[in-house]
Amino acid sequence: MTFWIDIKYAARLLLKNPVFTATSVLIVAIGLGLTLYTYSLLNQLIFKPLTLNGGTPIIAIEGQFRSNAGVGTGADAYHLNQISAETELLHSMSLYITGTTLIGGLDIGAANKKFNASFSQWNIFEVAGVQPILGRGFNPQDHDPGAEKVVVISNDVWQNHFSGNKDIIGATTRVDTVPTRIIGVMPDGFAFPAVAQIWVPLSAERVSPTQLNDDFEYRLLAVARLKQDVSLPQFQQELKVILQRNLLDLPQEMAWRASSPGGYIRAFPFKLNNDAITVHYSMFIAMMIVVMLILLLTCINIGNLLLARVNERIKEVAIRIALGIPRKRLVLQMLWESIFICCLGGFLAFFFAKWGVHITNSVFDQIFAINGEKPFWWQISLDMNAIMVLLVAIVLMILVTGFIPAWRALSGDLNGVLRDGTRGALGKKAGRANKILVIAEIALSCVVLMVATILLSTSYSAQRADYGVNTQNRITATVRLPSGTYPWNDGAPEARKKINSFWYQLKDELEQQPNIHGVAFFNLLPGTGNGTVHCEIEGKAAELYNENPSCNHGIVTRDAWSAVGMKMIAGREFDLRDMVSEGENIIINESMAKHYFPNGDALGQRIRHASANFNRDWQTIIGIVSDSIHGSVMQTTSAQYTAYLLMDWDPWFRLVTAVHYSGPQSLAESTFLEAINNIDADVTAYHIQSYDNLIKQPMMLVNAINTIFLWCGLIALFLAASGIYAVAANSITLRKQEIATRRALGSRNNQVIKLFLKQAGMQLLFGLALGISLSLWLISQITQSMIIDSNSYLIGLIGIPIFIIMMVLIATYLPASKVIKKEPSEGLREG
Amino acid sequence: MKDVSNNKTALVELKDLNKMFFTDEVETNALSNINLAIYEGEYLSITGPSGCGKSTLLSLLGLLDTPTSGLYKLAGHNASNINQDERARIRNKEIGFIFQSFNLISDLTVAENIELPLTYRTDLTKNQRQDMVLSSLEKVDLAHRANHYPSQLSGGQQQRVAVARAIGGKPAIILADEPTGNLDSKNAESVMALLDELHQDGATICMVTHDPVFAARTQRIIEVFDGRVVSDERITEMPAIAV
Repeated sequence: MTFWIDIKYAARLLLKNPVFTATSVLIVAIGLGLTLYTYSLLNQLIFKPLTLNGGTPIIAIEGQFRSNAGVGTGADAYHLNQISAETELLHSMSLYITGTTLIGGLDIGAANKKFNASFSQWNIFEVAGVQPILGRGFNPQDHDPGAEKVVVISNDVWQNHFSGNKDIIGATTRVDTVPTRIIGVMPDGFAFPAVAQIWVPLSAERVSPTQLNDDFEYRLLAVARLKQDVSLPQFQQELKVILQRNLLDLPQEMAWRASSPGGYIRAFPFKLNNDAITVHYSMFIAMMIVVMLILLLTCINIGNLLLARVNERIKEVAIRIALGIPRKRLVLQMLWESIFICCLGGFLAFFFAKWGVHITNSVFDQIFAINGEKPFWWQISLDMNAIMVLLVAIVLMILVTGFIPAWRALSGDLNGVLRDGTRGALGKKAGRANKILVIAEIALSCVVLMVATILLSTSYSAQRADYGVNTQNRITATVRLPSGTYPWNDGAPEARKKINSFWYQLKDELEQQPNIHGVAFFNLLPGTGNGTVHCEIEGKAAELYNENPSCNHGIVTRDAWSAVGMKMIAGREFDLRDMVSEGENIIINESMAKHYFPNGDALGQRIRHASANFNRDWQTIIGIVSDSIHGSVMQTTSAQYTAYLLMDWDPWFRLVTAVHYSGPQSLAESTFLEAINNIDADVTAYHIQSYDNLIKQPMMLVNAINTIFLWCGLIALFLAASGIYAVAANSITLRKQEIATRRALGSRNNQVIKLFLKQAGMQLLFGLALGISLSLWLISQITQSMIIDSNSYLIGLIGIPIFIIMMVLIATYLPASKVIKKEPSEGLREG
Repeated sequence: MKDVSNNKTALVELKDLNKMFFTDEVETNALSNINLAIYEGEYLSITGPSGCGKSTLLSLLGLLDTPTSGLYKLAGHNASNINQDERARIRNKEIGFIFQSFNLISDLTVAENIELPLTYRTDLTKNQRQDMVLSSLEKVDLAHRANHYPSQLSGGQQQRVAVARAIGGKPAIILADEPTGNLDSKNAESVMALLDELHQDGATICMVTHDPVFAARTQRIIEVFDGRVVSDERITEMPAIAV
């Protein structure tokens, strides 16, 4: 019964002060909403192991190279098979590699369409624990050299590309123009390992090599499922032992595998097997820390708001104690208000988080709209785990925010309060608590705002950075030749000629059109891509291959530079002379020339790949081209130094083109597609977009993360501003009598204001010192995978503290000036 | 205004002073047409029942509040319409306050509390301030407690510290608002004895009290009722007080 009285009383008090109630509920809703949202996002993207069908966790086993800045890469399939044979902790393991393929229709002559493919070992579906809904999966015989070409397609490909044809199983389509039988259809939504739309078995030679090999072709990725009750660290330990055993006595050119930093092959949660996650992992972790800080800020604010209310009601509390209220009941009474506020806020938080999740899913769809490479698990939802987290967070928040005022009510000299209403006796403890609260608020808001500002500013700069290319009136597209029509044949001259003639024919045909002014083909266009390899300068070879200079190796057609707005600085362009001597000549960019050949003698010097993985013939520098950056300027994996090789010496099935046009973009696109169709209708162009958009594409995810940071920053700002104001107002209310006394003793108003500003100054000093230190630590973690723009540091490290100083001084000045507007006698009376 | 009998100039002069409080839509006339003069060296008490306006009158006298209308002169200067800073300066130099609830600052030591109003002056060096603090503490017999905090003192001692703070700056007038109100009889007597002593040394003291016994120890008793001065009685001889 008494319970009910307390509930009614708490409800009445909250209704009596709707502004306080609304503010508190809003703060809780924002804090918990952000927590729930971030938990769901990070859990789905990173932390929750990929299990599929409720099985044991799926892990990735990949090569690891320092120059790849943590991004996984294929490892020698020979070693991967050794691991598969020797492990006792893996339930199953399958090898695969991802790529794209062109799929025709069921009729001869139907147009090809590009799809993401997984070239896999036969047991890929067994590892996934998912079987086709129609037909069959692969069997070991599908790898055999003479076996019929087969393909398994996704439900989406079946429904949309093959219009849900009921006789799809056994039908023949063309995969890269090679007739291939469709043997299975996977369930809806299945895209394992990540973005696959079709699955093609690898050849036996690639999946089961009989000897060690350093060729790229024999590098594969592996996906595995742990045995029941086996943890990833346990397997990592086993992997270490297996590798130690198998990496002994390697041939000289492969000895580096044994000494590769971090291990040649590593195992990690499969969800981290995504470049976007790997590259931005530290940003996600920073986001998690920031959100936890915001939750802390929320708790502090709510606690403080309730504390301020107890301060206002301290006489009432004292009377209750005098009347004999049991301590337990008093604490409970204090908790009821917290319970109401936190439950109502938690309820709203659910909808805030749901809204955030909905927006995030739309943003992900936009980010991957063009390349269609959204991993299948990148679909955020509020699941039961998230609801449990929300409930736990609500309970914790009730306890934290409820016990602060309860402690306040139970501590201090309540006799003094009853005797004359003075708050001096309680002021000292509460004052100390207030100081800590303000310092915490300053530090936390400083961290969140600084990190958000620095990241946003960096991302803004990256989008506006000079990538060394002219993107105006340029469209780009990926052009893919079907391997069936353009066979590689181990790079035989005839095959090479056929492939190259397509590229140059397309270039010529396009450049004859009145609206096209230049066409270039690159393996990756300047402004995109990333990653470097080590190159050796003749006469300056380092002892270890990876101590040589690193640069990006680009592939380019003849007469390419003007199409992307680049120009030759010195030497000459690639021309027919370079066709005479196979792959001997190279063009490097200006920065690379200046850095590695500071005496200006780059022309005529010779460089080659430092690693035995590549062709190690010496290449002579014949020209220096203007600088361009491959990759975003904010990524550590981006390349400032690029050496370009002539395309003609390698058969390239897939190249990215830049087309310089005039007139409408749509006309340029149709001219481009028509030209391809005129030459070979089986060749497919995709990812057609403006050059600007292409450069922005890799930054879209970073932008999305930064937008979340911005929201965090704004929320932190709101919480900090309201919190600091509330703390300052509360502190000043507690000291109202002291202020009145000081004024009665002759202190001028500005002296009173100065007194509080001075105290705020001290709190600012501690808070900012703590906040800046924490921010720098967080930023240092982020800079492991991201280059921060130097101007962003300036804005973050100077702008934000100034902003916070102003905010705190205003938040202190306002309540102080409010108090001194009253006559001192009023303060003394109220005291 | 001149006291014809003593030929002294009034230290404080109130003429047709009114004070109204406005709360919500209620208008309360706290003081009406107060005419009063306090002379240098006087020891007077303001008495009356609770809520009669005596504390409000003391607040106006101490420039802690502004009158709604009327004239207030302090040492011949009009203090009715001066700005906040000037009022603060006058409170600091010319007026010493003693409050019923002591109003000592709990974070400051006894010596620091006494020094506090002196720090608001720009004409005193640190040494001068410390000498003044010591001298005040000696007067109230608490020099040995200089480094204690208020919470470490009894109520009587705290009020003696408040007295020391009031006299520390050698003000023209000491205003005491129920100085014994929060004290037991023994401590109350000790504080009253201190005030008597100060008066004998020449201090001008104006004390609000509702205790007729303590009022009777002063030279002049002003009785306030319903916001008006209803009696202003001068006592020529000090009555004998039983201790």
